[in-house]
Amino acid sequence: NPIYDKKATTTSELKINRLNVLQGPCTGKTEIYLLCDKVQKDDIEIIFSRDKWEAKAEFAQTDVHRQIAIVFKSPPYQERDITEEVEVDVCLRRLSDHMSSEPVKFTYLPHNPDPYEVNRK
Amino acid sequence: KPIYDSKSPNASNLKISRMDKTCGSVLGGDEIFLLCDKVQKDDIDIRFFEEDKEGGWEDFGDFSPTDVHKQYAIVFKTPKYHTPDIERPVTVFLQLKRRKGSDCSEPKQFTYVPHVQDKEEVQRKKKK
Repeated sequence: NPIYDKKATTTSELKINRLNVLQGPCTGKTEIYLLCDKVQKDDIEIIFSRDKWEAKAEFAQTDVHRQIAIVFKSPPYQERDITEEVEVDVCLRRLSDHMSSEPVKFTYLPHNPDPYEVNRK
Repeated sequence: KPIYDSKSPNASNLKISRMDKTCGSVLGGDEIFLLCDKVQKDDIDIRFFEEDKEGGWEDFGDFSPTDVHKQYAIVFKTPKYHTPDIERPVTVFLQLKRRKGSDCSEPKQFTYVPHVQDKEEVQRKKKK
């Protein structure tokens, strides 16, 4: 097990505490609030992944709030024509040392779902 | 004009930076993520209010100290509006307010939307 210096954000363990939204369309652009342990705004990325696919969430350094929250937009899923929900992993990753947080789950929804959700009942 | 020590969480430097939602049901209970300047988890309220000639209205966001994240974010549930059967959206204010003393942040707007009973209508609104 690696030993972390909890005080230094350059080496501390990355952790996602909470997301405000846990699902969104496979076309991406869902605005998400993520609460985390301290990060450096210029040394962090948010990675969506499933199997071999991975994509980076979109945000600016000004979207990192006091090192403990990030407001970002979900990337589009690799396929835009999914007909079923797809669950992917979301994690924080430090650019400098490539360390990642434990993943949390996010669900991509089909772009053109049954508007009255009769199929889901 | 008072001078505040910006390093001290007790100084009046309360500020709401960002909220993930600015509207919700008239019945309350909507979860909101609020990003703010430094707060003390056991000395902070989220005050919803409306000022009018009849003394106004206030109620408070529902959260526990564990919902205050690292002093800079709060996850809370909205209080219900005083009149549950509004027919049009109503805009009120909310602000951070210290329990000890009277320090408050600048208010932000929040809009209560009417409760819609009809199921198809609810689905249609969700789509928008």
